[in-house]
Amino acid sequence: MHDELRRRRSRLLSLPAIIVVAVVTQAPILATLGLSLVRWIVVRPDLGITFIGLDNYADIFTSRDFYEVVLNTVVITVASLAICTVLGILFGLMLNRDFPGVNIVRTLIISPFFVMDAVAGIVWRTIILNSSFGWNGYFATLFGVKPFDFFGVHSLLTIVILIVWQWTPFFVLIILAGFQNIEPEIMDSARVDGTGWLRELLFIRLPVIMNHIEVAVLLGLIFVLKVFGLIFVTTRGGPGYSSSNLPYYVYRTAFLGWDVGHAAAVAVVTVVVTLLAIMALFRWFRRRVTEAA
Amino acid sequence: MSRGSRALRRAPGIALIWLAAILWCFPLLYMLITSFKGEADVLPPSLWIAHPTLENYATVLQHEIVRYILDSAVISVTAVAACLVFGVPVAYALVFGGLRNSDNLYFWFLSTTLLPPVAVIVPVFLLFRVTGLLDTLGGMILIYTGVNVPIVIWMTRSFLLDVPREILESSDMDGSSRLRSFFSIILPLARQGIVSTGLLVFIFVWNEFFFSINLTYVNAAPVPVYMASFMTQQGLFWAKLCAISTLVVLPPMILGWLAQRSLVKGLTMGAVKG
Amino acid sequence: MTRSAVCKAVLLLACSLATHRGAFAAGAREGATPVRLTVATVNNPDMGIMQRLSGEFTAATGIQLSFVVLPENELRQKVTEDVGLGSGRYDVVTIGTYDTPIWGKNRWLISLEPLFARMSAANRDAYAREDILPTIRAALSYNGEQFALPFYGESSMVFYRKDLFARAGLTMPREPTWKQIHDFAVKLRGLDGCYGIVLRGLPGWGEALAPFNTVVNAFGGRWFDESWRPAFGEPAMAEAWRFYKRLLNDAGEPNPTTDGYTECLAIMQSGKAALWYDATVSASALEAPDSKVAGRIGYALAPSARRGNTGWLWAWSLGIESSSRHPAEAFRFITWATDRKYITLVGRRVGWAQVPPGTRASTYSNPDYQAAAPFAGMVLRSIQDADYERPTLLPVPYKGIQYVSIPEFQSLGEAVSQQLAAYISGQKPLEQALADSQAAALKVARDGGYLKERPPASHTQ
Repeated sequence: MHDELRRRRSRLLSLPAIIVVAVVTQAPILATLGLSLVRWIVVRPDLGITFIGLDNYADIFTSRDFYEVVLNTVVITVASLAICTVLGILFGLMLNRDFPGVNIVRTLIISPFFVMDAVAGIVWRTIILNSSFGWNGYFATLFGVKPFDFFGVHSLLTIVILIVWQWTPFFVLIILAGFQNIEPEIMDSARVDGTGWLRELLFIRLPVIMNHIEVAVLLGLIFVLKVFGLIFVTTRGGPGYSSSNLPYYVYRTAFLGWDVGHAAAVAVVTVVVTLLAIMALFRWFRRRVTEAA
Repeated sequence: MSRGSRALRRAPGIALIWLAAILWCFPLLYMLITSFKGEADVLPPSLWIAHPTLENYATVLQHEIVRYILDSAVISVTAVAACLVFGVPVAYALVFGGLRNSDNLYFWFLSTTLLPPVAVIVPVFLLFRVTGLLDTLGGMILIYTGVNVPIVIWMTRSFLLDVPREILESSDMDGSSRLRSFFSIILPLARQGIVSTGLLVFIFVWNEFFFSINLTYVNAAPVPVYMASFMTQQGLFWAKLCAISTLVVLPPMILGWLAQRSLVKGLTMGAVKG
Repeated sequence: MTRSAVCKAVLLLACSLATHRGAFAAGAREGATPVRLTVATVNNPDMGIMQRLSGEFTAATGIQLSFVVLPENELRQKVTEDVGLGSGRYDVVTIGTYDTPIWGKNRWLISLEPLFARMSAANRDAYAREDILPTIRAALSYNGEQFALPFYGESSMVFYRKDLFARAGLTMPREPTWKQIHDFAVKLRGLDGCYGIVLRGLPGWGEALAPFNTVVNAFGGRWFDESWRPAFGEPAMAEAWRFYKRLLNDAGEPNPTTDGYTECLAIMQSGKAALWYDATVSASALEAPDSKVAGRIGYALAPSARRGNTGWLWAWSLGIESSSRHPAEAFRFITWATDRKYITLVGRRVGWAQVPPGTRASTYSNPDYQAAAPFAGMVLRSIQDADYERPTLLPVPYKGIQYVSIPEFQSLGEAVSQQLAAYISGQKPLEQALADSQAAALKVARDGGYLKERPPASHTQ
């Protein structure tokens, strides 16, 4: 009886949120599904809107560009998340002490997170990495070498760098919180045993904060998969498609080609791919945690 | 070991940390420096400000920016409040509510965040047009709430998971209602977590670019739209862009500075032992 | 229970108030005068001046103006959204010569002919429509009807450093060839630490493709043949690609795929390049007081190769959305912003060098303007001669010099400019880049219904 009451109340508590989220996100998803089955090119109203079934999806899976974009997305995501985790741990260790100005240092390190990614992109692109008059060009002339081609051959690397710069603060905050929550007895007993700091880090601290790392990586995955503004402002997905990820590919189809149907199909595929990735990661983490326990 | 010599030994380490932090933050620090330069002095780059000027800030701080800042503030604060009001009860229900399929519900919420804004903008635009929500504060609040509630649910749920069950059970036995125990016991414990979640959502909404450009025109335009007008293709604009970027970064950064301790401590539970 | 219910009620109230604020405002607009026009514009200096002076318009007519200012890409996207998805919030939109004929055809803009017909004789004389340069007017028309009025117009030309040329003992002919440009650039490279030449390489149909397409035209290449078969396999096209990369490699700026118009302007303005080929409007920026090279710039017509007269044609123009509720007032505004009185107003209030160029013949016969803009004659010649209808050596089924005037060009141009960037940066060999461009163009030609024939049995991807 008591349980039933609890359940009813829980359902009531959840209802408003379910309604809001459903209206705002599910309705568009359904609409996107519907749009993915039509041919609608906004700039060609003379061609009208016609139902074409799964043709958009057929186009996607037979286009070489799509697979390049998927590969890019995988590379960007895996590389960014890995580097962010490592940097998050490093910075977390650094900030987990008490020294003069620790608050300022912490603010400096997390500040990239507060900047709009469109602005961050422009600042990096023109003032830092530009080969003619950015710091890149400046140092190149200083050392007498050809400036590094950040936006040509190495555009994917540049995108990873920018994403890492922007999202490491997020990881730092969560991991630092984890470090600060480690009960002092664990640390004291490790010190008594005489373990070196590296082993202490790897075998004692990290497993304890695994929960935090999981939250950071899963949330980070969701956000990094959606990155758009950075790419839009710096490399425009290029050269070719070499630095396009799935959201940027959607943009190019939707707002340059104005092929709304095709873009919707890519969007649906993006969601499915992301869902699978999240589920896989989720399960991997669950297994690690139960193994460690 | 004396205090003095220990401090001395730590000094190079601390200096290294300071250096790392400054290098890491360099693009932003340089952005701040550039905002005080005249447009002609922006390129080539140098740390030295040849002719320091406030003209960029003057240009940027025209009276009309107040309207954008006000719109951004209303939208962000209301969206954060709405997200918390809608989301925290759900997290509570998921953790303590005894629902049979709480994992499925949790997962469903999570999955709604997977869709990139680029993908849904056309349906959302049409939806807003049909319901008259285009270019309204309410419309922007609605969409930001819908998009960010799942994040609030996720983070709050993980804080609540850390609340030891024993506390709740002991208060149950005391006979206090669930609601009272929520407000008097759980909420204080999770307060810092909720603050940090709120701050996170604020940052996301404040900085959000894509929806704000596409779904507003003149009546509900937030700050990112004003910023976009400085990203011009003709003529020099970098110093002005740096000035307005510095201004726009300030609110989240000040909030982050003030809520710093909450931000860090709040992403975990307090040291409550069972 | 009570507390959260109260919270929710307050929230609901706030939301409904917020939603209605817009509605109330709209209601107030419709019911009472004054009329308020929403104008979508790009952010460039000329538009900025127009905004500053718009108070004059409001004072004279009582019509209020709200400006929405966005970068070009966002503006085009948002305005296309607005007209294409039927929300019609803008009255006046700023569009280019690329968009105007297409939107006119789609009936997204209202034809200006009936509005002109309804003008009083006095107003019509004052506006002097025939004063507008014919090439620009043609580029803003579809089927003989004009759909937008030009705010400022431009072509392309060569900018060079007179002082460096003198030091190297070189003379720039009035209409150089691309081979000459290449040789000049190589000779001048390194002088005063300069790049020989700076050229756009940033991907984008309105970025690198603008100057690059004129190079293609000059070499005798084309995008499609008369039957809409893509022509990327033609030898002239390959030659143009090879030349552009060679020029950049031999004497251009490093890593050019980062440099769009803004970056190139910055490079030239700070004195880091000896040559630049780009939009004619850059001249006023290069001669501005804050430019490091003011007074040291010489001008030449767009270079030729197998074909001359290759300068491009573009005009930012003001059109009226067909869903606008105030077309008459909008028409008053766009005629105000594009007539001779406005130009004189700018000349007197701001300066004759900042007058919006390239729209009217009267601007160029104005002695004040000629005094302030030594490059004016060459710009006028470029715009007047621009061959918008027949841009290429061989016949083509499309119009447009630096673009192909079809709706799909936004996407196709973007794709091809990406291939160009891949080729220039060394990521792809030429054959691959051209093949991929060809494939993209073929898809557009077929899907868009331009190419009428059946695909051959063995078609390459």
